[in-house]
Amino acid sequence: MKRRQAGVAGLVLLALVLVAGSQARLLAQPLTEDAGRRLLYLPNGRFLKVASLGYPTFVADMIYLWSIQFYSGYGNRVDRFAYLEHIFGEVITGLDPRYVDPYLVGALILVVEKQDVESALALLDQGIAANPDDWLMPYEAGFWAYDTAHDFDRAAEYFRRTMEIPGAPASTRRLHAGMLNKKGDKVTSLLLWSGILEDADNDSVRTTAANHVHDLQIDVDVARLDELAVNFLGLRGRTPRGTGELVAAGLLQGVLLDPDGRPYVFDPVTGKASSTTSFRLRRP
Amino acid sequence: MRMAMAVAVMTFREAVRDRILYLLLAFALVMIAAARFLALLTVGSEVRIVADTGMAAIAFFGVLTAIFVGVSLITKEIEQRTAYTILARPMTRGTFVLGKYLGLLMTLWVNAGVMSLGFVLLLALRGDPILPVLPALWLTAIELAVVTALALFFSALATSSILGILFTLGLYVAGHLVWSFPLLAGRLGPGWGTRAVMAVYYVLPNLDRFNVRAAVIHGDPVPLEFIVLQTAYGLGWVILLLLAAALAFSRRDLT
Repeated sequence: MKRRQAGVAGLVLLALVLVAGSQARLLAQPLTEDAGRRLLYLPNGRFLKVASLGYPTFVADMIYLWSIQFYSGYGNRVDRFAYLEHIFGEVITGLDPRYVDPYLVGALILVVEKQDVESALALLDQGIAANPDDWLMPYEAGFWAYDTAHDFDRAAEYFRRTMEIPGAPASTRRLHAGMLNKKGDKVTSLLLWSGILEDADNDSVRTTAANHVHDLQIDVDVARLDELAVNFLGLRGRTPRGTGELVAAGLLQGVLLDPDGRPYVFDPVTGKASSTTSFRLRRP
Repeated sequence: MRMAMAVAVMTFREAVRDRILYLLLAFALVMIAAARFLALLTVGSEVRIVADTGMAAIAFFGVLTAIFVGVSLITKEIEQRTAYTILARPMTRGTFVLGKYLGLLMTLWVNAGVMSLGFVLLLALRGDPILPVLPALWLTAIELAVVTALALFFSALATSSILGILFTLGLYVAGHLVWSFPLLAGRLGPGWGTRAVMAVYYVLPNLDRFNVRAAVIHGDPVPLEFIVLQTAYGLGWVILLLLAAALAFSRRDLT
């Protein structure tokens, strides 16, 4: 009996040594597998939805949790992003198209890690189409379009769409106005900033809006005066000396002053208008 | 009805002695508690993951219990020959089926109640809203009632528990895939195939409509009218399945 017990104890000890020893060696080995290969057979979310048997949101949660661990755990391997759009754009959001976080996190990884802002915007576009009432995604897309892609046209459009969604932060209106300014549509930007100035409910917003209105008014006036100066040159064969001459020539209704009440001046050689007032905001 | 209640109480007492019940309950409670830790692994969506995991655990383990305990209800009585003793009393087979059903439903609802209590407690500890999850928990309880009736029907019909489990699981899966039938019909185009698919679509119990978990986690309201209608739909299926189970059992040769 004692021999049998000793035999069993020996076997248990041997098994423990085998398990613990091999485990320690295995854990010490670096991960050599192809990260992309792990994801190769991950099916589309629409098929997984059928396979989830009534638990699509739960399966979406589990894959989302797994994806976060996966993209946090592969260091700088080159192939780790091979199926990123598939996982976030098809698998998780195919299971639950209204799951907002995977669109946002997927876009974040695409921009910051993969440095692929176009794919990020495509993923966010997909999320916006599936969740038209959610302001966070167009807001985020506007930010990436502005900050990373430097595509002010698209950024302005994203912020315009965000503004129309109930619950969007008030700052979206300012961002939209700012993007319009950056893309060169100063007249619309001035209109928007004037509206923001009128509706401002705190000093910080009021001061910011007033500064933008001040500078944009000068920009808009100068652009208009430049056009009128060209017309004046056609009529009189010389550049105008001041806005009074434009009024006298019937090109302007009245003398135009800048927001600080100073007259605009014209370069006698080029005819380009300018203001003697300093801009309040830093010029790009 | 008194006889049915007597069978129900007996079934309840018998079911609560079943170890599989406690095993599934323990798994479910562990999973609900694990939701708290899963939430630590996510980026955003903590509230969603806790709520979704908890509700899914209650529904999944509830259905597993309904199928595994429900299917063996009548077959076990016949195999162990206890049914003969009970049916020797002045009791119709329909009353026996009804009593068995009520007993198991009582067990399942107590089980689901314990799981829901654990889940609600977890939400309360986290400070998450509790009220929005209540429609999902209620409709899960109604779905459990339908699945239990389904399991009992196959228990009365099938000659072995394994067959009963396979049939019930099959119908449970089909009941959750009913939403895909019109899509399939659309692919088939006009013809007898489409008609056959649509016929199955209307005949099968649409179990997926009891699942409002997606609406709950997305913060969509679940209208009271929908809950009432869905409850009526579930009750209708329970009555139909119990009648079918009683019919199947009354025709079964117990000699």
